[in-house]
Amino acid sequence: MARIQIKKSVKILIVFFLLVLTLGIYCISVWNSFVVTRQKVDLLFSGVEVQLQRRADLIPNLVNVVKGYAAHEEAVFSEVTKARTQMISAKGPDELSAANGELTQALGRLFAVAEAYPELKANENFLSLQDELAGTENRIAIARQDFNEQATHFNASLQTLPKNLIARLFGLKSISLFGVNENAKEVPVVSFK
Amino acid sequence: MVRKKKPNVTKRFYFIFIVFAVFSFSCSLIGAVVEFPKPTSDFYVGDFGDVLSNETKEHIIQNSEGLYHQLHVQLVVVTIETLGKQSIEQYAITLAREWGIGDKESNKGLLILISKKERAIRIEIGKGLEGDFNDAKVGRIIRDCSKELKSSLDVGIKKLYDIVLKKMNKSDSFVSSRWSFAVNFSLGVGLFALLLYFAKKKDSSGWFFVILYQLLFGRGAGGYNYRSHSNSNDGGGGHFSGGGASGKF
Repeated sequence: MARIQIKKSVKILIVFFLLVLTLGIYCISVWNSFVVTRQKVDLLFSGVEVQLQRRADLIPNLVNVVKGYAAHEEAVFSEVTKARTQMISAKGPDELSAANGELTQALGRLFAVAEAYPELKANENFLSLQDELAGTENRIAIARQDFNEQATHFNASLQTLPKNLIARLFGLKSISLFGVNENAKEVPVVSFK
Repeated sequence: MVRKKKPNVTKRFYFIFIVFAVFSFSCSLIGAVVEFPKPTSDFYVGDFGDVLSNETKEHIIQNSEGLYHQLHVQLVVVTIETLGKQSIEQYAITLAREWGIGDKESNKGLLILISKKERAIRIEIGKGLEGDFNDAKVGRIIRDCSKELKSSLDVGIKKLYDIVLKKMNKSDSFVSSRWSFAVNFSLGVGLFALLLYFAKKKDSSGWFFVILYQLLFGRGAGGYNYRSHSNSNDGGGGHFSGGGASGKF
């Protein structure tokens, strides 16, 4: 009787041990998957940053070309330059997308001003810069979309059972998404007149 | 009470089941707002907007196949009836990614997309071609063809295609890869001749040259490799990140 009792307790111990082991392995694999997704998200975020930087880099050239034809439109230039500086110093998805939206508005006004100067509109340099900017804006949109997709995937697994328990255990936090500014949504299209 | 409850439970079960079925069905509908066309058997041309003449299609298929054999670039032309509610940028990149245009390793894919109803055009550049085709260059190509596109889509698309093809062949990275291919090829022929010579003399030292050649050029200079590419394309890259330019005509 006693023998069987011991055997039973050993059995229970073994089962318990196996349970803990599988749980531990599960925890590790979940943690690893979190790390991998997190890294993917970070990579995509830096992709957005690269494109935003590229946009910022293009702006001084654009302003200079426009200045050559419309030197007296000071207000627009300073607005664009200010928005650009703000975007360079912005950090994190929220600030960056807000700053980027403002820059889009300022650029919109700059292009509206350019409309009044036919010679400027025919300038090959201006057209190239316009193409580069439109391309960059499209790249920003794509990069942001890819980032949001991956971040949403990460956030979803952070909030669903049973992974959320493990996430809480490790103190993981959800990632904030890139808001799509309604004004920034419109990608300028090169049109032929 | 108990007897009354039982059918209620099954009824409720059926109700939940139907709600679930309807819900999942509508979800799948939402997921498929835009039906993307599947690649045609020709792959390099998908004339879903029905604007291209047979000659133009033939021209595109032949040249694109040649281009893929030579430079491992996939140059695809797609025309569609309408974009639906999407922007042409969104449509183009989704299609390019879905079709997996471009080689898996080099990601050298290029998509020319034309939508008939919106009179919109976009050239989408794969990751591996961004150095050869920057946005300004692509924008200029579109502008240069706007007159032809306005008058006839068939003529305009052919002109656009030919310009892209010409720029591709002139591109620095491809010119050098061509040269290295030529060098590689002539070396290969020379060594083969040497090998034949030694084989005739029943001298095994010829193998030394073959091994040397393999060591030097075994990885296939210029990205060219000797796989056969008969009809199937082994693309599947689809790495696009939004490079290119759009226009209206």
